[in-house]
Parts: sequence; structure tokens; C-alpha cells
Amino acid sequence: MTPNAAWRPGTPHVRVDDVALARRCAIGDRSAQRDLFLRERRRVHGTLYRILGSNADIDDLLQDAFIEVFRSVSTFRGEASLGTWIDRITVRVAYAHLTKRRVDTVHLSLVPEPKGNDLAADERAMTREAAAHLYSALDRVPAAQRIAFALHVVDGRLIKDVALATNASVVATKVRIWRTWRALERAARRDPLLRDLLLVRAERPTPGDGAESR
Amino acid sequence: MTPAPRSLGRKIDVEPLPEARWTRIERAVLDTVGTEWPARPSARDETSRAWTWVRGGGGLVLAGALASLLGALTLRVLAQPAPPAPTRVETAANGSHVEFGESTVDVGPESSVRLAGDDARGVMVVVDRGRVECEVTPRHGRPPFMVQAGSVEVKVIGTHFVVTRAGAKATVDVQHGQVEVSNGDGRWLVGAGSHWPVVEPDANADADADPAPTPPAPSPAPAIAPANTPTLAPAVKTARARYEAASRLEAVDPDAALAQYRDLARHGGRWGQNALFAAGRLDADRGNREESRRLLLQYVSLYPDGANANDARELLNRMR
Repeated sequence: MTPNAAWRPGTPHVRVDDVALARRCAIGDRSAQRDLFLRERRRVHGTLYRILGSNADIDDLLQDAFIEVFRSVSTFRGEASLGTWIDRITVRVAYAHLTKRRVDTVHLSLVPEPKGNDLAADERAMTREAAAHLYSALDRVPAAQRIAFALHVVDGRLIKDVALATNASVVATKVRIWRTWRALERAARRDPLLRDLLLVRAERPTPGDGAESR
Repeated sequence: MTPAPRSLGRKIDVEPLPEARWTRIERAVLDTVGTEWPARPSARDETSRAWTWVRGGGGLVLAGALASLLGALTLRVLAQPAPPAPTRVETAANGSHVEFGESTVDVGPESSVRLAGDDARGVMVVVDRGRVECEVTPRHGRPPFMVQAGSVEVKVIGTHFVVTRAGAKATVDVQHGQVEVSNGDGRWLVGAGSHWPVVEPDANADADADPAPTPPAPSPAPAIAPANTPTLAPAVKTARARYEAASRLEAVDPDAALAQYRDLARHGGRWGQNALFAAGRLDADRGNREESRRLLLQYVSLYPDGANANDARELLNRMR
């Protein structure tokens, strides 16, 4: 038995404890389930938040995602890292939410905050409002495009990782991101706040570009 | 709009959830999962996939072939047993002998063990307390027989061994065959007549002289004395020695050093972790930006809190 015999440079390196933890969860080990929850909760929350923005249903969605993780954990074989595998499930939960309840999104941060004399706080409030504008604009974009954009541009993940999480090809992912950029740029012409926010943007992929750029 | 840096996420923070809400979510999730356990998604998925396939293929085959195929598939679906529910074995003053598939598990006195799976799907033995002695028939390509004792995992192909757990500590004694033992620090192959973990008598003596990051802390001394004289697991010594050799080679033969680092990185563990970073750094020193970037990204993604994670990030920033 050769340790990590399947590992080659460039391939995902599956942590030994990932497989062990998944196995323990699969046999109903409550402490393992708790460990997994604690270990991955920020990741799942971050992914949902980046895709959906500030959302009144976030608690329910976190529950849905983790319940789905635990229901499926016996199928985890360690081909990818546990984090990547959980990302896929989280993306599916976000996608289902977007396609079922598109109109109901509530942007909590639209509620104005009390004014203070702290410049940094003002700036944060402005950014939050701009983020609300961004997610309002993203509400008008197809779910698959929105997810690809949010994971790459908002969360800063590599395109290949986004493709992996969304079960799409790299080229399809780039096209989705590119189309979302176009839609947002159109929206930004009428929305100065959104335009300012988009000034800080990642390199924009072009469809058909095979390189794995950010 | 001028294209500029990285991601919008630097401007848009993820609003943290208060701990009280996390607690509620955790309780709701674990309660839901707890009421459903033992979950049997594999069998359900396989059944559902099989029937979907039958429905999809129905229009494409001749009626007679369909009938026989359907019959065969139905038999197969019906014959597909659900994964057996885990069995818990608790012993008092006397131990217990359990035959589990083709293997046997002797549970020691004052022990608590859970057994799950079967020969076809793989066997998982979780030692919550005490001692198990396992005689595992050769797996012949089937999923492995695994024993989990806290953070220590033993993967078996076919052998006779003993796993003892006392609190957070676990020890492994191999009578014959070979097993792979892993914990958060790495993996070790433990052969017949050997004991794990090993005790490195000179671990402290040469620690100051070692400029490289420290090796994985040797697992704490076993609470229960090993039956055999402690044997040095080759993987521990070799990993450290190989890292040091590669480090010395950097100045005279960087290609060879790089090859050694990469090979070492494949094995994971603390020294594999160090080696992965060293390979990325060495590639950067030699101007191999793409390869260096790839290795350092891999390091950061695998070991976000690793000893060299900040250095890796700084190197990556410099290469941008």
C-alpha cells in the first residue's frame, strides 16, 4: 500500500482526515457530524452569502445545505477534497433557492443604518448599500450565470474551481461570467453606486479564452 | 471602468452570523440527521438510478429484450441489500468475539466499539474506548477494512493487528501483514512485528540543530505499553532525513532537490507539507513562475494555516 499513491502534482490532494471524517459521519457518529459542521460552516455560509447576498433565508439555507451534506456523505469517496464536495452541494442549494424564489429576495442591508461621525463606518455603510445594488442587479441574471460570477468575481475563486463547483466546463463558466459582466455594466450606466463598486473588479475573462485566468 | 485588482469580495464582507444562530442551525441540522440515521442514500440512489435507466431505455429495445432486461434489473434491484446498520459492541470484564463478514474482531474487556459496512462496501470499525484485535482476510481489491480510533485511522488489506485506544491516544500493533496508519500529521506503513506510534529518543536532542520546520510531534507515549520493543517506523525517519538531504542539495543540485521535495510532498504529513512549500520556493528562486505559483497555491489551499502559509502567500503576491 503506497501512501497517496494516486496523488500527482496538479491534482487535488485529498486530506486523509477528510475521508475518515466523512466515514464517521456516514455511520452516524454524532461528534464527527459536529466536527464537520464546525469545520465547514464558515465555508458554506461564505459560499451562500457570496451567491445570494444578505438574505433573510440564510439560516434555512444553511440548514438545507448541511442536511444535504449529511444525507449524501456516505457517497463521498475522496475523489476531491471534502470542501470542494461540500461546495458543490452548497451551490446546488443556492441554485434551487434562486430558481424557486427569485422574486422574494430581501436585501437586508437596504435598511439604512444610523448615521455616525466615523468615516470608516460611513464607507462600510456605502459599500453595503452598493452590494445591495449589485445583488439587485444580479437578481435579473440567470441563476447559473449569477453563481459563476459570484464565486469568481465576488468571492475571488479560480475559474477552474468555479467550474468544478458548478459542474460546468471552464469555457461555459467563462461565458457565464462574461455575460454577467455585460448585464452589470448595462445596469451600472444608470446606477452610479454600482458603477463605483464595479470599478474594483477582477480581470474579465473573454469567452473562448482557454487560459485559467482569474 | 478600469480593470483592476482581484475580487469584489475584498470590499463586500460576509456578514458573520451570531454564535446563537449557529447553535440553533447546528441543533436543527443534527436533530434532523439524527432522526434519519442510519441514512441509506447509496441504496436509494442506486435503486432510483436503475429505474430511471429502465424507463429511459424502454423505448429503445425490442419488447422481448426489454422484458428480460427488466426482469434481470428488477432482480438486481431487489437483490441490492441496504447497507447494514452499525452494530455497537460494549464489553464489561470479559471481551467479546465478533465475526464480521469474512473477518473477525475480538473486542477487549471494558471496550466500546461500533462496526459498520460489509465486505462488499468496506468495513469500518470505530473504537470509542478500549481494544480491538482484528484478523482481516485479504481484501482482493474490495473496499478496505478500516479501524478508526480517535484521530488515528488504520487501513488494512489483509492482516492481523491490534488497535488500543485510551482517551485521545491510540496505539497499533501489527502481528502479520502490513497496515497503513494515518492521523492529522501524516501516514505511516506499519509492518509485521511493529508498533505505532514510534518513540524518537533523539527527537529533542537534535531539534535545535535543525533549521528546518519541526517534524510532526511524535505521538504521545502510548498509555498502554506495547507488546513488542518499539520499532522506528521508517516513514518518519525517512521523511525528515529526505527533507534535510533535499535541503542540502539545493545549493549543489537544485534539480535533484526539487525532485526530492516533490516526491516527499506526495506523502503528505508535516514533512510533505514543508517539502511542498520548499518546492514552490525553489521554483520561484529559479524563475519557474508558473510552476512555483501552482505549487504555492496548492500549499495554501491544502494547508491554509500551515507553518509556511504566510510565506507562501507573500511569495504569491510578489509573483503577481
